[in-house]
Amino acid sequence: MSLFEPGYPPPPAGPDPVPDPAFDPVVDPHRGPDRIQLRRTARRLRHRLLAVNAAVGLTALLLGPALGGTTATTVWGGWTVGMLLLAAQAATAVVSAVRYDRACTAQLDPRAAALAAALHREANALHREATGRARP
Amino acid sequence: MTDTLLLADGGSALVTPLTSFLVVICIGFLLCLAAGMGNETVADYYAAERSLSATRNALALCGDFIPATALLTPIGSVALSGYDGMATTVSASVATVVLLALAQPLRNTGRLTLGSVLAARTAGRAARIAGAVVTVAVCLPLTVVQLVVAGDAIAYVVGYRTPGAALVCTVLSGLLITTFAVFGGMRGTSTIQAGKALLVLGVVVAVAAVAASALHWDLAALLTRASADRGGTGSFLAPGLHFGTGTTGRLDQFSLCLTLSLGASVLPPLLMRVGASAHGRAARRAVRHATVLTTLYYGVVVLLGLAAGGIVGVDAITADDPRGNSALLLLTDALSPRAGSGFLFTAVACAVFVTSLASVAGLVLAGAAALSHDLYAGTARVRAPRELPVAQGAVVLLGLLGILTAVLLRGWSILFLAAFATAVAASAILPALVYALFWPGFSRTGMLWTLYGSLACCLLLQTFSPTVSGQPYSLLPGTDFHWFPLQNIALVTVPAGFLLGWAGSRLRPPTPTERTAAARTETAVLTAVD
Repeated sequence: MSLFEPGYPPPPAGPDPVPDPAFDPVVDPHRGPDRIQLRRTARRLRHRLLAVNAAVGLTALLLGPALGGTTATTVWGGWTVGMLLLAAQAATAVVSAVRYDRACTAQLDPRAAALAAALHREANALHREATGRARP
Repeated sequence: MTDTLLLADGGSALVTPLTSFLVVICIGFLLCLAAGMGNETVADYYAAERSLSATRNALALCGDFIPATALLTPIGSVALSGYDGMATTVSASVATVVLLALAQPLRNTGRLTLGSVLAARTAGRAARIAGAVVTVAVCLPLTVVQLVVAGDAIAYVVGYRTPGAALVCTVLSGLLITTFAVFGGMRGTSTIQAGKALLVLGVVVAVAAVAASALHWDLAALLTRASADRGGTGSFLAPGLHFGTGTTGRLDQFSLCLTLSLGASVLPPLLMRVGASAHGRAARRAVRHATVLTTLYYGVVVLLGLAAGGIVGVDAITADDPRGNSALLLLTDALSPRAGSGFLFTAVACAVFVTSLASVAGLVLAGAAALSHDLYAGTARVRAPRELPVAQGAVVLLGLLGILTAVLLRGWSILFLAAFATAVAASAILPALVYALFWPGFSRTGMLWTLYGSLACCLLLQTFSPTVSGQPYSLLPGTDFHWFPLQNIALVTVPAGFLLGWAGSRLRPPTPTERTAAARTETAVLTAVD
């Protein structure tokens, strides 16, 4: 068996996959609206962080060579067009990092904590139901 | 270099680079021993029991983002290449942003190594083995590069600039660093990295302040002097000095920036450092602080590069080292009369030494974790207590292998090693992590295609690139079998890595078990509940 080949057979053909006995409904992330909302918020914040930095970074990287000698034109106090582009790239990284962390703290962390608590409660209840004892 | 600073002159000054090194070694060893006393379990050794605070972790992360090459190379690059060097330096600084997007999800998985993160998505040992192979393929070349650069820098600082002395310095520093990593583990290397970050930041800011003071805090005058030997500000502050103004040169420059922005963000020591955070929020907060500190650092580095070009001169820098790696030391040496009796030079020498020490220790530890945690414990299913001695043995093994390779490659161009390792990180580790953390459709086949396919792609393109043959700076300058025009291959290999993962997952979609694992991973990524 090669490392490039799967070690177990591919899923059977058909419209629906065969239900897996190992499936645990407690950790199904698609079940509730809270989970979907949390996932969307996390994705939105992450994409915004990366998109802003990619846009500014690509602008600086592509505009520099495109402008050619114009990048060496002095704008103010020794600062040239090229240096300002690169400074904007660095400043964007810092500002977006700080804003991303703040946004996560405000929008993501409380929801994630609430969802984690709900998951723990569900898991405890299922464990107690199955074993009659509290989950360690 | 001023005579009083040389070890060889046997001067009466108490504070010389050598005595400072000895003090630093003693302090570092004591810190590592003290930190390593608590290493009783594998979790201690690799993750410091996830007890590192956000502040300490941020400093350690900042230290991880500043390897010896990042302390020595960018300054020469800015001094010699002007705008191109600045663009490269800024690209390296924004790598932290990519890590910021990954930090909390990565820590929430509760896993330490690349192999273990990937293993959460699939059954069997293949993911762990592939993760370990890629991790070692990144860590070992970078260890060699750091050791060679550190050996050269230390030989320079102590005043013996012969190939033999550099070789001895490489071996001794390598052995010392390996010892530190064996005893200290993650807790010890974190302490050293945090201390190093403070020392390096303090030193570069101090040198920059002295240099700016020497030029009367006049940026325009600094730029004029820095560009005097490079055709004036018109060419020095325009793109093209490093790779040329042709299409190939521009693509190479773009590819280099891409390599640094993406590859430097997912190096294995950084992934382990994130995994050692107390929780996901602490990991995110640490990377945020590290972003601020690292950007500050690279901003000062640009200033130092310009100052080196202006005060030392491009001709003097290239005469000393054509790659410009000694620009910082030359600049500090030139500023020593202003800074007073060589104190600044000694501080820089210590910063270079500690930087080498901490960088190699982190790399060796990450590589050893892949060997012992993923290959040995992950596949052989051994008990945890037996994993600790194996982990320490793996550190020794990787350390010795790195030293041996560094000795064998002494005198050869090692540019291809640095380019290859960073490209593998950007092309294999980044796509695999992004897919494993965020894409439920990522299958075992896609994972293996990404990891092994990207590795093979990097190996092929790097072998047939100008870094190996066909140029004076190549590994084999006397032969020419290169057909790939770019020195930096990430422009091709990064899209290839993402494409391979997608194609493999489309060809063999995830099994029901893998879909369940994906759901579990997604829950863990969002809530840290496994």
